[in-house]
Amino acid sequence: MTWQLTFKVARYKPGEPPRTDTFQIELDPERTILDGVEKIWAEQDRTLTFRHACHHASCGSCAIMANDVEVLPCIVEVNQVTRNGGTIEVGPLHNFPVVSDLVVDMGTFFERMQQVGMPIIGPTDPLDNQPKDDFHAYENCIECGICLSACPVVATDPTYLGPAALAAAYRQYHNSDDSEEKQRIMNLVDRENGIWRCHVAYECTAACPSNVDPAGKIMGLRRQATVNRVRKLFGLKPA
Amino acid sequence: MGAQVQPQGQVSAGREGTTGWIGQAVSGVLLLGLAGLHMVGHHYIVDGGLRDYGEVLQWIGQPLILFAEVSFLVVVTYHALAGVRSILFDLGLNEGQKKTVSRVLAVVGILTIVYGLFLAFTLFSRA
Amino acid sequence: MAVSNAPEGSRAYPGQQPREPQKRVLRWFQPFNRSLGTWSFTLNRVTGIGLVVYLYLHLGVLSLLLVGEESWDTFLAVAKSPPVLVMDVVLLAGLLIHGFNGLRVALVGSGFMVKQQRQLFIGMMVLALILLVIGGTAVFLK
Repeated sequence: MTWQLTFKVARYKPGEPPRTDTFQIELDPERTILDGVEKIWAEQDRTLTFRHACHHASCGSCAIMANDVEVLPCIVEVNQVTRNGGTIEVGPLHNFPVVSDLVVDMGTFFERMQQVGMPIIGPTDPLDNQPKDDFHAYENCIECGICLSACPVVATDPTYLGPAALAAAYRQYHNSDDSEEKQRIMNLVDRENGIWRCHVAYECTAACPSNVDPAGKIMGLRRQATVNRVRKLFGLKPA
Repeated sequence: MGAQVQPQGQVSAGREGTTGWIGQAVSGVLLLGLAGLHMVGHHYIVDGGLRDYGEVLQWIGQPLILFAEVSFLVVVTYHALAGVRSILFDLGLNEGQKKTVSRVLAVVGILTIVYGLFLAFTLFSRA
Repeated sequence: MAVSNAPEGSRAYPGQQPREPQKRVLRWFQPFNRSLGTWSFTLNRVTGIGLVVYLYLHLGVLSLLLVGEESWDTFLAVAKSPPVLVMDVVLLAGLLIHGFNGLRVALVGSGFMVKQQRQLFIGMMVLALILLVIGGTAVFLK
């Protein structure tokens, strides 16, 4: 049985005022929100812009807002957010500049990941050099930007490094044996617009579709920064 | 995209961030005790829930209570204004604005504490 | 220098920040659809701002003590009226919520009970509620 659905889509094109377009579509309830958006694009409006690639929560490129919640629309079935005859409101992620319709500019996001030393694409490590078990969670980051969209501090402070970069910094800090690199990372995050800007809302951890737990990592970095400072008081090297 | 990307925006010294956060947490924990004592002392162990003029003097006239009330004044002022600073900094202020906010709040804090000390010691002297 | 979220020097889509950060302040006060942590964040912010305003009102009112016995005791008569007592309960709620919620922020933010932050928030709010019922009742019985 197919459902009758209303999609309200936030639209924006450079030079034009933002608007909301309404589309009526028929869709199986087990199909995903992304299926719905693609159906609109295929059958009703070829100017609708959105990102998508893997369709299985691996690439992180399709992240959007659906009914005011950040989602990877490729893995959220329409029956999880509405009912037959219901409405799904989709729009671009919060806290990013909008490029076009559902597409946001991820430039600063990736720049910050690079700042903390997290390679977006890196060489494959031999098995012996793989991160320790404890650090697997950070490898799960799919760079979707959902944590930044959900964070109430990123909403108002563009200078805040943000949960994704800080979680990556934690992983890089603990996975590095180079004391200079560790110090560089700590200098970057141990500041007012780094780990100390977080107000423990844990929204990033709640919203993350990949269980990275950025808030937990921010707290880990705080503990590390405090330990390092105490050690310095006693003339010891950072842990 | 170059490999050497500069940090976004000017950044404050690390120590300031750590000290600010730990200061806020420690003062907050202290306030649980100091505010509790203030509330119980002024409202919950008094008939009618509020001290009249004579009862206020009797309370503040005890040196240990004066010390606790003055501590409360200093800690609550610090905690309140550090909180305001943190909220304002959350707005993504630039470095100049941050300095201005910090200085203005420091002046407000000093004035508040001076006024509170004057109040407390005046009442202590009348007791 | 404050920066926008747009890449510096980007000319591809100038001026397309949908809303200025300052206008997104409303997000602080919209915990709906969000997790418990955002409720904690919003509650702390609302009660914190309220308590700062109250602190200065309170310090202002205390100047009546400097004026003398008559002005303070006249004020007391107003302060014991039922509407003001209701405000006292609101104040007590603010103090308890901010105090115990703040304790959660201090603990979790320092790296303690990180995995239990949700349970800690619920526990702290239950504690605040119990004390509010006891303290609020006492306000009217005294």
